[in-house]
Amino acid sequence: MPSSKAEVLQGTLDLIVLKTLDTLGPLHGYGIAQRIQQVSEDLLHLNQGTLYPALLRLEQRGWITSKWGVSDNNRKAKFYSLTKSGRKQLAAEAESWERMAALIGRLLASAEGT
Amino acid sequence: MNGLRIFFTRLRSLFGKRRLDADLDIELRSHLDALTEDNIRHGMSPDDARHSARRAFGGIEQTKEAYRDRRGLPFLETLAQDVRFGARMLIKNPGFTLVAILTLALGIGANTAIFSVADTFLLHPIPLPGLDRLAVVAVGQKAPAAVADFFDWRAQAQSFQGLAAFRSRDINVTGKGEPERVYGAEVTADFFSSAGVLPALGRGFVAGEDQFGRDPVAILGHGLWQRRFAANPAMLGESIEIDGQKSTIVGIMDREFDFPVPTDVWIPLALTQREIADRAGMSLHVFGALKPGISIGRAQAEMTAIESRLAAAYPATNKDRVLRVMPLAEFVQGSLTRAYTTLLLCVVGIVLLVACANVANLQFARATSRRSEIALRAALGASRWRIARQLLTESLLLSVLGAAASLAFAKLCLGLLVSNMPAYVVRLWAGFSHIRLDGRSFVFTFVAAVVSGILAGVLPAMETSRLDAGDALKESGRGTTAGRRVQRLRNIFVVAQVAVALVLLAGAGLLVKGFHQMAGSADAFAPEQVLTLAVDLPASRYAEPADRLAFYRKALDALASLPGARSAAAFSCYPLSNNGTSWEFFQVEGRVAPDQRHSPWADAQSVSPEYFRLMRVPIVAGRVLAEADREDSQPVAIVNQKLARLQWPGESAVGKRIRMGAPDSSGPWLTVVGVAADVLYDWTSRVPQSTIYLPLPQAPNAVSLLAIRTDVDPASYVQATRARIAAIDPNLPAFDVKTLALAIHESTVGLGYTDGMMAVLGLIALAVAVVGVYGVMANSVGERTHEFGVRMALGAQPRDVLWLASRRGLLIAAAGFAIGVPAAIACARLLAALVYGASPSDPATFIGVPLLLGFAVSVACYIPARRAMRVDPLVALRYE
Repeated sequence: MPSSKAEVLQGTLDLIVLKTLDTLGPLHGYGIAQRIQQVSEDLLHLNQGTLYPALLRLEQRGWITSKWGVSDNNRKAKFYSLTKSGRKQLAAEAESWERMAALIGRLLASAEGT
Repeated sequence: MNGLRIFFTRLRSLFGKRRLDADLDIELRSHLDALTEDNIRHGMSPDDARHSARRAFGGIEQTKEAYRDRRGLPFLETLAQDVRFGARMLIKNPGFTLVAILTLALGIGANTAIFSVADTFLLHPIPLPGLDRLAVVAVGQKAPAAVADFFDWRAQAQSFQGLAAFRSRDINVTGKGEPERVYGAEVTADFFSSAGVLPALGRGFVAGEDQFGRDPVAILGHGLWQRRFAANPAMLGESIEIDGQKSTIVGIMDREFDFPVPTDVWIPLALTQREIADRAGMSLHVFGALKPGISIGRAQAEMTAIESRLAAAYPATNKDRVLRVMPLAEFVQGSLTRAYTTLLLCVVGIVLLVACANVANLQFARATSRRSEIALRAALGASRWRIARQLLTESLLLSVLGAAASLAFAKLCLGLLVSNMPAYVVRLWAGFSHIRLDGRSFVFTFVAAVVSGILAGVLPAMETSRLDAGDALKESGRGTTAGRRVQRLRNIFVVAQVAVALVLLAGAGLLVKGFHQMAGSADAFAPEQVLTLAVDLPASRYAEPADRLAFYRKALDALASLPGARSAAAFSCYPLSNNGTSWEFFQVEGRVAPDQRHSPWADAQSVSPEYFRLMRVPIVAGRVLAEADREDSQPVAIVNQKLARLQWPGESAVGKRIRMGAPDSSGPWLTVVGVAADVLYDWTSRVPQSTIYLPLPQAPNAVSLLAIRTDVDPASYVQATRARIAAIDPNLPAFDVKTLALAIHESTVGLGYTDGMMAVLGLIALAVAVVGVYGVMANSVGERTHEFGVRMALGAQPRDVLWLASRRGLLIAAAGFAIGVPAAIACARLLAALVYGASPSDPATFIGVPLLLGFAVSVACYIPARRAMRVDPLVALRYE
């Protein structure tokens, strides 16, 4: 059952997915999972299945759209791409994330100083 | 915005679920396949590759579950699931389902029917578009206003968009066919615009048409136009004679429009200068639309202020006048309608509660047999709330099904109600012709269904879901008894049902009995052999008392000479009517009251000598009126026993003298020459009141009715009597020609209907209570089959078992009676104060109703108990 940990993960996951689609363009679920794995250099362990409810959520919010297509290895797959409002959302989330990261960074630095 | 879109995409995904599930399957499968292939490419064996892919992916079913929860509306899906499951459970128990649905259908259907009636009578009695903004300004309770006052109000009141006035007057229509008497209304020119309606054809009255001396015009009601003029539109611009005056038809109203109820012809209120200045005679009903934003309360305050200025200016006439501003809908309600409708609404609500208690009880019983299923669900992780929700959904499903069936029942009830009401009553009763199941009835039915579903389901759901899974599973497989709490709740429900049924039946019994007594008292008049007819002598042609007397003498001679007519009489009011009595003050010689307020009053009637014989009213002392009591002979009167007893207790009334009117009246002293038996003229007064009979020649103005008594069916005299009257005055229609039996029936039919409905509701309550007792008994016997088997194996006699099995039911009945009988006696007093024709203490009812109920309950106990008695010990024990 989802706990408070999942909530933190959820927001993070949204940002990661949006950013991935922004960088790489339309991509299927497997591709997104691979990209996350690759970028995080396996530091972030993700149950790849949790990606799909997250994708659905982003789609329901209108931030991404999906279309059936054929993958590189000739498989039927759903391709997700960023919408205009998704791009806006990404910018907003990235900004708030950076602000938060900077805040946490300052907080930790000052804590070390004392 | 976003939330709404998410809701709709989610809602949409509830449909085409299978395709969406398949899509998800494909998507997840292709992901896993790609992962596996990658692993193989990295050098894993196919098996390892697949397992590693699964691990990296996480739980496939969990993913799907989470995905589905995101995709649809879990709440709705669970609801649909609950409904589907509930429906399956209901189908599995057809007996339970049928009884529950029927119970609710009766309960809700009766409510829907009565609601539709009450909604029409109380809230929408006339179909006017702006009814909720229309208000009446009345004097006292509902009395009309003086003409001069009306013009002052109209000039000063700011709360209304305008004030219009009307007064009803019966009108004789002549020319173009038979003379006919119709309902008329004299209205101000702004009457139609104030009511917010226009004629369907032609025009309304224009300003100035209500000035005295203008060319008379008239607007026809739809009914009269159809009946008399064959709905011919060319009648517009034609002229008809109204009370002998040529009037041009300028408009024809819509079919639905009937205000004031009833009206066939509207004519302008043409007032003379003398009438306009009249502040004493009160004849005008005043109404208007409130200005936007003005409440009844504000209008009331303003009118009170205006009236206090008038009272200061004209103390002689206006000193004690109190104005009342009320909604028009309230104004047009019959005076008895509100009391009776409220009574029925209360009773029918109680019947629904009883039905809900019954369904709750049935659900308790069923929950006991479903314990293992519920325990299993709980053991598998269903929360208490989840189980309770499932049970509540089932209850709501039952009530919605019951509501659907109830509509048929309600339609049947309304059909019976409307179709059996005499047309004459329908015409006079504001709203009666509009009673139907409409949108509001459907909304009401739905709300009633939801409320009763929750009422009937909430306790069973809470109690059943309380169950401890471990305990229940341990006992599962064996017939188990319900918990003590549940047993107690069920007992309380049934006790309440029995008590309420007793109260309702007793109430209905009292009403029905009271009504039958009243209706039966009419037999004394042998009303089947009496034909009554009414005439209204227009003041224009019968101005002098002598003219009127001359007419009546001729009419009585003409009627009495009809072959087969035994006697003919003229009189003012027939027995058991609910209008036509005229209450007047009188003075007793030697004891003249100090003022009007302390004067005794009586119903003053004017009768021809034959009246007493024709109506079979015995004269118990003195003599009957005679032909010798003429306009110029000694003034005399006959009083009834009640008046004689009240005014001259212990003395003979004959020879005493009375005078009509207030203490300062200058009328002659009347010598009492006879005492007549008491007659209940106005049934709304419950018991016969003081009555004074004046001889027709000495009071010819108060007469309006004629009657003949015949040996054969008087209905065959209708044409002949009309013809005799027409022979005397061709422009004078005889109306309301009917047998006295029919006239009495029509005046009391509303009461009879109410009582009939009460009886039906009482019987529904009885049936529901009996089903309730039976349900509890059958269930308790079923649960104890094993126990009875053991007892019988140990030597208990069938009689002992019968007693054991029926004891619970009989105790319940006894408790119900212990509560119900005193409650019924208390309610009877209340009832007698609220409505007419109910006698508060009637031993027959208070013995008969408990006997009837006791018998029904005993049967309901006996049938299951007999089954217990016949239990074969071997079978019962093996049944384990």
